[in-house]
Amino acid sequence: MTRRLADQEIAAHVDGELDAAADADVRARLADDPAARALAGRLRELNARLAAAHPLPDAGEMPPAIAAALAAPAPVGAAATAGDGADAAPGRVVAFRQAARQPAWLPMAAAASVALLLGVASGTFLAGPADRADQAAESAAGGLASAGTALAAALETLPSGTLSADAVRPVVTFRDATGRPCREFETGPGVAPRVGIACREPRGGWEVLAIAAMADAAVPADGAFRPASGAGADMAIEATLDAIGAGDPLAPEEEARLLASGWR
Amino acid sequence: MQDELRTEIAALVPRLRRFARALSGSAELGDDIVQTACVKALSRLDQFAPGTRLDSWMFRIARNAFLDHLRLSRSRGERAADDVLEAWSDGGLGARRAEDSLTLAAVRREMAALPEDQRAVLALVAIEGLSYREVAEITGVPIGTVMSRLARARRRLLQLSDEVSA
Repeated sequence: MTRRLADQEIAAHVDGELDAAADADVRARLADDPAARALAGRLRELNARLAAAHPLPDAGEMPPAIAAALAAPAPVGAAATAGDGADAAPGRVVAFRQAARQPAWLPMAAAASVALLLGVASGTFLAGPADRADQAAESAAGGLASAGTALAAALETLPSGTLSADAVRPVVTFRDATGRPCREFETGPGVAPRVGIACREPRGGWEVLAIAAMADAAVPADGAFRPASGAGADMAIEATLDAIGAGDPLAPEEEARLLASGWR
Repeated sequence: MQDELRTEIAALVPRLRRFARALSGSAELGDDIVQTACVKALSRLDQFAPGTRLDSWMFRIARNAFLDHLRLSRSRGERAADDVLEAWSDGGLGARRAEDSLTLAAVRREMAALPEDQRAVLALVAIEGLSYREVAEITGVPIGTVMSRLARARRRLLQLSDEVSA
């Protein structure tokens, strides 16, 4: 009974981690050890303060976006639910392209909280001359085909962090689980602020996997886009990164090599 | 089977929100994390092993969603820790920390300043009341690592509390 109580033993006692025998032993030694008793008291107080600072949200106050995610139909692996998304969850919008290799949860995400943009789903945007005026004019109406042209040009040629004349900025380059180079990009200022993910097709061109409207994006009459909160857009993009098995960002030298070699 | 799990996940939402808020330092970001975690969980219900704890499974998915968020923030060159601190920013009240040392806002701010791995362990033990073993499974580290992270987190918070009292 001469061994001093270790701090971790005291913590385990406070946290209820010890079995009956071990706990009785610690209690007995605490009786003889004022410093250990004081520490146990402080740990209990700290636990209580942490718990008080983080109250349990009311079960009746389910955020609509979470409720919509839980109410979404089971994933079926098809894109047929696209049209349902617009009504499901106000406030969260992103357009996903659904590729066969992606996990089945993406269609469900669409039904739960995102509106699919079928123009994106069908499109691989080939690199070509940027149609700047057209992009600027159509961006607010979800004119991604023309935006894609300027987009593809920027993705094909610009180092990350560089803003194109068409207000497209590649943000970071990485590889997906299959080794394909992909880039995250943002649009704006001057056009609707969006964030998206596109991957380079081996034969050329960029496949847009996801694009999310950031806060304050224009809302077109057809309802194809609704403004999403910045955090909501981030989460949607992150979900896509997760789905495609995105690797760590490439080093600038590696990105420069890909830019110089035409993404070979 | 899957409908039952869906109902059980819905019942876990309040705890998941509390955890995600403690982890992210922001109620809004926390709810986005829970939403992402629910979507992911429902898409992989077949990966849930019957007989194991659904809450542990969901906490792990939520925590991974938060780590994804941090990873993306870093890849964008943001400083995630600052984001978390900013979320609890009180407009300069920190300069008068002594006056609010016992307030709950101070507790949250101090927790937000911990490294993420310590914050996750502390939240799961002290706020969610999970056992070390459960926390080890959720965070994917040995129990000894859980205990040392917990000890470091508590040492730091008690030290801050001492500095305020001194």
